Amino acid sequence: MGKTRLRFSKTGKAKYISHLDLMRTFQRAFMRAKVGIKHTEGFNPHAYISIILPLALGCESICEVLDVEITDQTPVSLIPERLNPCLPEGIEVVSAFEPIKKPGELKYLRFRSKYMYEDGNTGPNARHIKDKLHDFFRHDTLAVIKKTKRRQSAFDLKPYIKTMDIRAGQGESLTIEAVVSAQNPSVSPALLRMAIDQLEPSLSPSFFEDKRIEIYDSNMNIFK
Amino acid sequence: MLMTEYGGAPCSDLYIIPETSMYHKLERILPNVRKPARYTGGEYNQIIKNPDETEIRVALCFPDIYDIGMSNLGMRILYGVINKMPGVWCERVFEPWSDMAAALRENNIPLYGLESGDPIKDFDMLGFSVGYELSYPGILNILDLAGIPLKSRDRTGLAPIIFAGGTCMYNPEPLADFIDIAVIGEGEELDLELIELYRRAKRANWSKERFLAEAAGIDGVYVPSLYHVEYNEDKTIKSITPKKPAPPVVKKRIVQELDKSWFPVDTIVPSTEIVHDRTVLELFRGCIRGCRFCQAGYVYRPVRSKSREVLVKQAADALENSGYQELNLASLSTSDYRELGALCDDLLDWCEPRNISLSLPSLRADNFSMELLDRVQRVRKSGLTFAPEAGSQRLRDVINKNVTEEDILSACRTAFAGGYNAVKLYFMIGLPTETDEDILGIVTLAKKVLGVFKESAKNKNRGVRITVSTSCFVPKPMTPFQWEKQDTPEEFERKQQLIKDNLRTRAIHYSWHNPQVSLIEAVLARGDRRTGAVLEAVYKKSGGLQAWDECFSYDAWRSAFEEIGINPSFYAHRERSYDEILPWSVISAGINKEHLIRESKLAKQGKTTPDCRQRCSGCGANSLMKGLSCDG
Repeated sequence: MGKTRLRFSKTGKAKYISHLDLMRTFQRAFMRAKVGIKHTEGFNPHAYISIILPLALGCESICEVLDVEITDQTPVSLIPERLNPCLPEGIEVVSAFEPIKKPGELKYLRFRSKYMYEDGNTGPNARHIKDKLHDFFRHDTLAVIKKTKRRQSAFDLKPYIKTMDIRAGQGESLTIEAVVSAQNPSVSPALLRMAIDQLEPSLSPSFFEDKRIEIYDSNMNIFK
Repeated sequence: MLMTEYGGAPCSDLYIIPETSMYHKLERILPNVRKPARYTGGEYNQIIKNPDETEIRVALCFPDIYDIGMSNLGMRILYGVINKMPGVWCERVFEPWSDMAAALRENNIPLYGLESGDPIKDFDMLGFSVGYELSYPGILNILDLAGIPLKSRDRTGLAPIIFAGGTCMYNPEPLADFIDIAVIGEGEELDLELIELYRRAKRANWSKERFLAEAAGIDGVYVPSLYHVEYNEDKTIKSITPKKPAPPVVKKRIVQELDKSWFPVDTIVPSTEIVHDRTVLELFRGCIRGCRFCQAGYVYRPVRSKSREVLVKQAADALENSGYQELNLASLSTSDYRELGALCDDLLDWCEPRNISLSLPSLRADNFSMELLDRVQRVRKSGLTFAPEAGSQRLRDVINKNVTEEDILSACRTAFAGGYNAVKLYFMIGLPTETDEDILGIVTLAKKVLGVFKESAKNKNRGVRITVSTSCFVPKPMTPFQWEKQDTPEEFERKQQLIKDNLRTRAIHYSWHNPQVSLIEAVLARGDRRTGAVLEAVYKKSGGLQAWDECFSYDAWRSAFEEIGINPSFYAHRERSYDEILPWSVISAGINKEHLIRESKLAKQGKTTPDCRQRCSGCGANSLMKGLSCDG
């Protein structure tokens, strides 16, 4: 009973479920599992479910966190096994616990991206690209132009990349693993690619896969 | 990480998708299409079977996008009953949106079943659920995306057999060249018999011809290729001759006892929002009202209700299983369910503590009460919809919509007094015998509703929003209006303008249907075999999804008519005589032709027919009940 944090993964087919649809999916999964959760008051009651760091469509994750308030006597430790049979393919609750940190204290995100370069014989070779990408991310500034509906602004994402590691994978692919600022401001795998597209388009991959690996507080302890 | 395994679904044998699955190809295109979750499967409650232990693979296809098809109760029922058959695996297929269709074609990915990802061209049977004429090109689009020849005669092997069911199959003729079989009526039993016959055919290695000939012996099965149609010089039909062993008339099939028929309580819950994202409870089939324009009202007869006890149990099971928080009580005229008040009370006892709301599709103004409304809207409040259908009492009598102006006004009075300040009023224009006076009656009625608001509203300061919506009348097969002509698009537009010119109040909002769409609907609804060529031309010019405003191309239809040499007016704007052989003469919905003629004549005299509970009008549907009685 009370405030509860779920850690879950969203992989495979489930990566195509949008953020809003994911909220609905969890709301229904709680109903199916007969785990009572707090609803809003008023004419149009809906469940209080908060996903701390919304995940982009198409990105996988093994470190998602969701906050909810349990209103019945379901023991927190039993929530994963109650909820998992009620979730669609690809979403799995790994653990449930009482929140330790406030959502605002989530500071860093570790993600892994696979970049593929498949332009045939004429295209660049992954090993060669690896060094170039390395140099690219060593620039002092990486200012990207972010466009919103109303205006566009320059944003230097360099200070918000904490660590980065680039490895050449099999064939024509590279793996980039980075620890970045998770929120305020947030740096996403897509933002790194936006920087490449804008500043060094010759290094833009022909295809990519992203996956969130871990989330941390300001001391690089796993966020719980 | 690649998609390699299934989970989540309650299913006995977990089947691992092979590495060669086309999902690996799909991964490349899904990030670039809108709403990719439509195309992945993997939803809660989907059914996965092991293909090695499966004898027959069936694709249940819907010629519109996922969001629409997954909202269709018929699809959910058939998916469930077919998958209950041992050795049969039924998967879902929807028409992809144009971005996905283009990506599939560009990457040579053949259309696949959502559950397995396997190409449906290798399946045994494809069953289409067809409820709207404008979706016909979508059927061809699906076949083409799958890599299956469009024409029945070009598919020479036993597999895949293409069959189609649904309301449109009361006149399957426009699809006669493309489908192998039309199944007429309710599919819960009929489809299973057809699949069982296919199982025999597959085991014994029958030819397609042998299978079709045997299938024609199943009640409710229509095999278009077994009928020869001859035409008169004036282009009307001269004769329709069955070839042996096809029956001269194919009569629709119905489920006798709805309480015992299978209802999907463990139905798929989409992971992406669909149009009707809620649990749907079917209270009864058929309708007691007899509105003369309404095809559903005629073809779903006789009236068969579910008992209150069964409904409450099914609702609770379905809601628990799905986790939905809204329950929709669906039927053609839900408020005609005999024990609706008591049913709502029972349902609310269960729903209210769980924050689940009840909703009704639309209400009849003549048996509307605030008491009912209070029950339905107790948890969540939404707008109200009434369908007077016509603006004058004279015309409402012609169409047998037995609702009076006072019924409508008093229903609105009750609603406004109860705190509602939004009402939608649905009308049809172009109805038989309609004059401008009737059209102006729509305006007058809307203004009277506004007057009622001013008089009786609880809170006038909040203002009122009255929406008047007009659709264009489309004469449909199997109704008393099946012989009528439709207004031309120009005439529809003139009438719409007349309403616009006279409805200049801010409180009343007017919306209308595109008359060009309604013209195409009318041509196909009463089309014969010769119209099939138009479908092929249109899908090549403009793709499927013609039911969508952004995809509908009137130019494509017009030029297709011209190329094929078909005059749409012949089908839409021509009044038929009672003795003309209509393209659907070989199909029977169980309603006597004499009854339809009688109703047609009464309409012309402006005389009404009482509803079935007041007096049986002897339509003939009773004869479909084996030992049971209609509305019993």
